[in-house]
Amino acid sequence: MRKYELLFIVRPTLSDQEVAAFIEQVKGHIGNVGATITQVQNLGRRQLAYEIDHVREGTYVLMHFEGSGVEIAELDRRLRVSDAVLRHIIIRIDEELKRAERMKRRRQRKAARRARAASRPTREGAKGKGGSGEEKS
Amino acid sequence: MAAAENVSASPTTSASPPQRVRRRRECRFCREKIDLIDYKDVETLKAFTPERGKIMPRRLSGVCAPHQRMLTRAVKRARNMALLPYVTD
Ligand SMILES: [Zn+2]
Repeated sequence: MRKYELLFIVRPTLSDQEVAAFIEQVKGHIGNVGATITQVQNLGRRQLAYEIDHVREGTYVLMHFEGSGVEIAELDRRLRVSDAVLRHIIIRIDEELKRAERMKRRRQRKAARRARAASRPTREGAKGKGGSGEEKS
Repeated sequence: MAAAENVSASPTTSASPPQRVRRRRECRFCREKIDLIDYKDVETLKAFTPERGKIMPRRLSGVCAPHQRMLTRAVKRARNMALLPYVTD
């Protein structure tokens, strides 16, 4: 299963209720195409960094879902043709998360190696002279 | 060929530069142990897109190559979603 993140901007002319209804509609789309929603978050209304379609603000909505990948094209098309959506982006996040995990593990391995090297008795034999913070990398 | 002039008592020029200590700083993301740069984290991205909104080159920011790649990707996504401007005049 692949993990995806969808962020879209809802037109500011929609009321809170209309936004809520639209979110439900998008959730329905995602469910219909066979993906599983794991997170839905209304990030609220915010200023756009530039004008889109003659408006300068919009409501940002974030969703995470898991799917096989074949459903993305259809979801993308539906969001593109939707009048309520100013802009949207769907990104695959599982590979980025995996890479982040690899970076984290590598960092931890390095730190462990450094710690071992530091605790090993050296020529001076002084152990941990006032070292509360990090090593000078 | 300007050899002779040896201004001995010149505190401004001969003394060590007060601020510009060329200390090699570790990449900020490495230092803060950030493994993922989120395009929605506008405040962080803004710190690396000063003035006109262009991405700061890493020779100025000191960001390492892997993190610079993550950063540019995040900035481009953020621009696309109107979280950051493309250009600022
Ligand atoms: Zn780095």
